[in-house]
Amino acid sequence: MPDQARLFAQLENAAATITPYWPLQSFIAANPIQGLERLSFEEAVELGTDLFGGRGYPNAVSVRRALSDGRIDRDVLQEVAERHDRPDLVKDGPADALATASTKPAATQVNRLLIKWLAAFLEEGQAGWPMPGREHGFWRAWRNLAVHDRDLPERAEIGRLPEEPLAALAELMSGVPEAEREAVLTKHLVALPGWSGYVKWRAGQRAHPWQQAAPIALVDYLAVRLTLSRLFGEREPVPASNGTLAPDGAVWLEAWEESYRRPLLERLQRSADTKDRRESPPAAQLIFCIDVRSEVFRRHLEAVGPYDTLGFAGFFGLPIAHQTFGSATAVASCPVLLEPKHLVQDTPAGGHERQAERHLQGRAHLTGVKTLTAQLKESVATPFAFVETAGGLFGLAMAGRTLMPKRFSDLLDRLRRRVSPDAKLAPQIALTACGPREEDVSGFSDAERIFYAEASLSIMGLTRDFAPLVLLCGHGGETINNPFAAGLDCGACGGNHGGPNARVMAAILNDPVVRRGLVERGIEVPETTLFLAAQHNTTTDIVTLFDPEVGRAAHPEIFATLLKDLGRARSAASAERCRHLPGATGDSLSAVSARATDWAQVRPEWGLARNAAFIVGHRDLTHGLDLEGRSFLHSYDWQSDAEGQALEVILTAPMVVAEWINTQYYFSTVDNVAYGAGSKITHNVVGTFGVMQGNASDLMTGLPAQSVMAADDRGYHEPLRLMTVVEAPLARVEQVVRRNDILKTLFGNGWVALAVLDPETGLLSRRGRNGTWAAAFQTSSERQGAPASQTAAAPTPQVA
Amino acid sequence: MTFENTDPDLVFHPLKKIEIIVKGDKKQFVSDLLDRSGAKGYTLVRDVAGMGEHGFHEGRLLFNDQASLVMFMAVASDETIRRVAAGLKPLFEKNTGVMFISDARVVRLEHFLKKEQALG
Repeated sequence: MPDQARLFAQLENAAATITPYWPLQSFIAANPIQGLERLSFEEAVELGTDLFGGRGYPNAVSVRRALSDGRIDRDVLQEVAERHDRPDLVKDGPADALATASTKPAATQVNRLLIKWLAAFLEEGQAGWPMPGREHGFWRAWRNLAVHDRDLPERAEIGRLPEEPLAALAELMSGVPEAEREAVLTKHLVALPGWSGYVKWRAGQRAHPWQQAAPIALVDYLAVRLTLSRLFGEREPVPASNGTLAPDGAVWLEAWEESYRRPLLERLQRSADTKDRRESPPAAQLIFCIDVRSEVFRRHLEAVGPYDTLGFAGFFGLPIAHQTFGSATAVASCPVLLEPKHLVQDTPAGGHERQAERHLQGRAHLTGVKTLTAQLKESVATPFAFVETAGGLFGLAMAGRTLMPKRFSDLLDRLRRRVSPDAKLAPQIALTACGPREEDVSGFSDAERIFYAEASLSIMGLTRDFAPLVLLCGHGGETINNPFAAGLDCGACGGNHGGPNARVMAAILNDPVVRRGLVERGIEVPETTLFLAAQHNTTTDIVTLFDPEVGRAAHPEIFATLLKDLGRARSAASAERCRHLPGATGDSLSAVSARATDWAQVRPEWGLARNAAFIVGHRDLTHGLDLEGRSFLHSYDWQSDAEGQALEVILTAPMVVAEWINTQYYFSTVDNVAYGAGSKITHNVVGTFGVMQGNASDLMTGLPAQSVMAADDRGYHEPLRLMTVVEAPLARVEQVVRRNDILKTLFGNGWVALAVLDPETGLLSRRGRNGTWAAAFQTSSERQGAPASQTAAAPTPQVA
Repeated sequence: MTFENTDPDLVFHPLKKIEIIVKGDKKQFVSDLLDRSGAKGYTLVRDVAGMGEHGFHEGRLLFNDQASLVMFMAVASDETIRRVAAGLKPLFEKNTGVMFISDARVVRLEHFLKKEQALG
């Protein structure tokens, strides 16, 4: 019998191979082979093929298309192919993989039954008749019920296994030699990586109400799986999928990436050589999320007026759980790398208490109607009578949604407002007791507010020259009938709308106590400067201000012009968006609005598709460049960060989140079956947290085909790994990389490429995986255009 | 003035102490392991920094709890600490981290011993 403590650790090691899967409600981008990031990219995709059956590289069809439309540059290909000693590839083109299609896990009896029981145990209020005994945990609940499952052979054996899941697993593993245990556990986990990934996520959420109501951990999952495996005499779990690695994938990928990266670096170098810091003071500064979609809007806004825009992680540096007014629970509104450290509740704004009361009452009515409808639909006795009496109404609603989606959505909105009128609310930022226990507090202490204000302003390099109006702009998508709606929202806010964080930070920055605290720390915000919160709707490009009356009162002229310019920027951004969206014809403003309300629309927007670069630096570096909505932009002022602390924060958090997003788009594109979610058309939402294809598939992780493909055989997202470009002294960047394992891993193993524009020397250098630096351009003439080979002379950074 | 030891009931009970330093993303595993091994409690120090085989490790990353280092300190019976160490050994074969085991003395023994112990 295995030692249980050792087995427990072996399970932890085995579990490192699978990526946690976040539920649809807070859909978080993650690298599907995140557990293999300790390996080089090439080794990891190869192992990914063995473990998950995923392809890992762009297939021959997409490479040929990229070659024919010039996205893979022939000259770059020639050079890359020669360096890999494969000049034949230039003439012959990509070879087809032996099997180009991968399939999801085989419908073995073990998989089928495990999925059946997992779906029953994990559902979150969707079932009319929930599984009994869930409070005892998955293994115990299953052990009690499975003896009655007629699909199971020899089921009496189940009762003879220990009640404690780890003890049961130890008994089930007793025939496996010590040295093989980890590998056997891994095989069982990767047989259904979506389901085991979801269990991994759930097990880590101890405060999650459903985890408390129905606790589950991977040890439960494995105990059940190994029992099924034993009952059905399964010799070894069947691998999840059967994809084949594309031949020469690494060479083609590099040629494709270099074809994108070199022109971008040339443009940045030119911009650095010629840039003049813009002197005229801006009328307003607008801080957007680093999200690639912000770049499009920022560019158009800067083109229509005297505005400075900045990029910062869209949670505005606030590790908060946000509780909307009247809601019983709070939602973590920060990157998943962070645990929320503060609760922030919305409360009625001063003088709006009665209005808020009416809002709450109306909401209670609406919730009551919704619950009653659900009960009538689900109950055994009522569905027929319910359809007879209310069916017509549902038919009308269906007709409305289908024939006039926008008007129908507006009508519903008006009805909702009539029953539950909107109330004027404000976030509770000062520390306030909000519950019976001493630790139930909403908000921050004075010192905490000052700390977060200073940290955020310093990290983005906004510590002087404040404009009269500073807009903090969170973002969120707009879509209906879309299980992946959260995927269009702010990743930095844990898959939620970023507006609440913007409101909290604006309130903090307007707080007189904070302003005084900032002065003591050397940041003087003029008394006339007002911070205002807003939210950028990434589907329609509408920017909504939360407290417009405050802005109008403080700076009427600037405010009026800004509103007009936001509208102009919206028109231009929408027109740009419509050029890429299939079927977006006619007036672009109407086209994008219609997509947001159409319940049959599989592609309301492109999300973060085509993301490929992460640029850290002053906006002057990228100002005026059309980056095609492909770059995450993080503001950074190298001159005010001598120790590299701000840079460290940017690279170890926002860049890591960007890498998760980038790899999710990459792998969802190169193998949408093994690493993506397949077509939306055949999705089946299970338990409200995930989707399956059909009624008993693995949970489909990653992005649906419609989010990355323009058509079945034509990709829209270009599967390129992220390239990070930092505007800072080279030695400082290297120092930050060396003191952080996570950066050594990502840059050293080829998951992210790194280039540095050193403002002190004017040189652009690229970091090799082994930590050596090479000049991107050898001579000044090359700096004007022609690319240098990768073996150019390396400036040695002086790292202390 | 100096204090004199006048308490004849003051007994120093010998126990073992384990200090464990791991990355933040292993925090839950270590706390589960301590609990399952029979440790009655532990002290957690967040954001520790230090120099190791792979160079200097930053203690506090402002926006990333998972990559920051944490340190656990637990005092328990020799048997319990052995179980904890047995569970950490395979972990450290694949992950960065260290453990230190030392002799410790406690006064209130009942605070450190569990009646039933979960792991066999």
